[in-house]
Amino acid sequence: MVEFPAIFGHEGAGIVRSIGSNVKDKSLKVGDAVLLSFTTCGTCKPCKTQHPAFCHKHAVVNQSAVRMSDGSTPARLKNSNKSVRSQYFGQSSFSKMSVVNEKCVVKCPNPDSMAVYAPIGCGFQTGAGTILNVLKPEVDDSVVIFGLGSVGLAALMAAVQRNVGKIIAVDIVEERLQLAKELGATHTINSRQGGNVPGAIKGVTGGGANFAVDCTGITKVIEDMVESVGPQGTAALVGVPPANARVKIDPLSFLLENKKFVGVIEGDSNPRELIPQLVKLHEAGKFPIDKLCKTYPVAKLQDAIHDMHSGKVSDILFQWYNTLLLTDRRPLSRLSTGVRMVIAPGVRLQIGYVEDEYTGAISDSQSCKYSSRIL
Amino acid sequence: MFADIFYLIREAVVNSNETEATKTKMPVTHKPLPLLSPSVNRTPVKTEVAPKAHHVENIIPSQTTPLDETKNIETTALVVKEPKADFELMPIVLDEVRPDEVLIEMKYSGICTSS
Repeated sequence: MVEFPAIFGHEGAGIVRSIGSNVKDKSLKVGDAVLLSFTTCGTCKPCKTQHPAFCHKHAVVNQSAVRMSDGSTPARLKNSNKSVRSQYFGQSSFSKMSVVNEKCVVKCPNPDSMAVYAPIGCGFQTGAGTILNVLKPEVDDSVVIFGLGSVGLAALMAAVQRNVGKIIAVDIVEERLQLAKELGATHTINSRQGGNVPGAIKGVTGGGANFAVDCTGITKVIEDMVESVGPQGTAALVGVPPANARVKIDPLSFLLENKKFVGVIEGDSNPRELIPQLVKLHEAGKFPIDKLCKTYPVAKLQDAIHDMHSGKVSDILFQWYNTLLLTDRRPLSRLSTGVRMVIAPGVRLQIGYVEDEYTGAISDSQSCKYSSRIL
Repeated sequence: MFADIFYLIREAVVNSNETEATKTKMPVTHKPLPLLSPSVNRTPVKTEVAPKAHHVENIIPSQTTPLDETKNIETTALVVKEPKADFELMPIVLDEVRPDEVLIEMKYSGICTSS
């Protein structure tokens, strides 16, 4: 949907430098620290009834990376005046300065922790929102979370916060399963070790889980998820599958067990409400997202690279023009656009795209070379 | 190395009384990235600069002062030129801040793999 050249980035955190004359939030001041989230069309029914995440035009409005009003884009290349798409998710935060749609802007309640809060705009909000807004599991329920990236771990933390009785975490990387246990998962399953994952879940839950969340977008996992919910259970699809993928379900058992299968974008979150709510939980120690982030100074870039490949480290959160590199704990290999990344000016980090096979090997045959380059 | 060159340029500008005309004679290949549009007359700002200040943005004394210009804002971004291409850091220009928009100086950007 987006055309190239384009500037991506949809989990931005920054400082307000200038405010348009007609911006509706009058409490916003220059110098405010803000977090950036997704944008919406503003005119459809969900937009008007406090469900902005379910905007009917969510994909178009966020992925096209142009202004909604006239299809223009703020950015052009300095050297060639060529137009560059730059309102990806209304923000295009891979840019030192960006002209951002007012709808994306949420004041950051605690500016000192802005680094840790940047992914709330998408990843953490999505995972936590699915549990807190959509599924709402109770103490005597069971929840399964497939995929322990920032979305899955945020969902896990939200389930722990709700004191859910059984929280089963499923992943293929042992370190992440360990982290899930630390964060409060009651059971963990390493699906790479083979075996029947839905069977194991039915064993633990006595017939199937009440709720399940898929944060991987992998078709086999989605199928397992639907299989592993029990009678009247709800399977929530949150991870983004590849285009044109197809999943198979057993419709008879789906009917006989009165199951539900729902798609949930951005955790049905209203960013201006959910983001402050999550920040409060974090401050109360109940949403320990700092455990997902690790800081590396640029001198230790080699360690960061090594940790990424061994699965210890995942999302990269980079700090503009400074020498710190913050990373998260999900394999970088899940990048679906297959891009390689420039991490910091002057240092080029190449990490190849790795095919993710549910059962299989995360190929770490991708070379990781970096060289300095004068820009 | 880019940072070093940039730092040297910054130091040269701040420490001398150069005008626009003499600036262009400097034998460097990299121009500093001005935050304001080039047509604005810029006199060197004599503020306290921390030793490792590399960025143009640090020249502005107070972060709560709105930008003078909200049109043709020069900055840099990671641009993807075509599908599956690398991110490349390059200078861009932002045309304007419209009434329903906000100009943000990014401090952190997360990378979420759903994109």
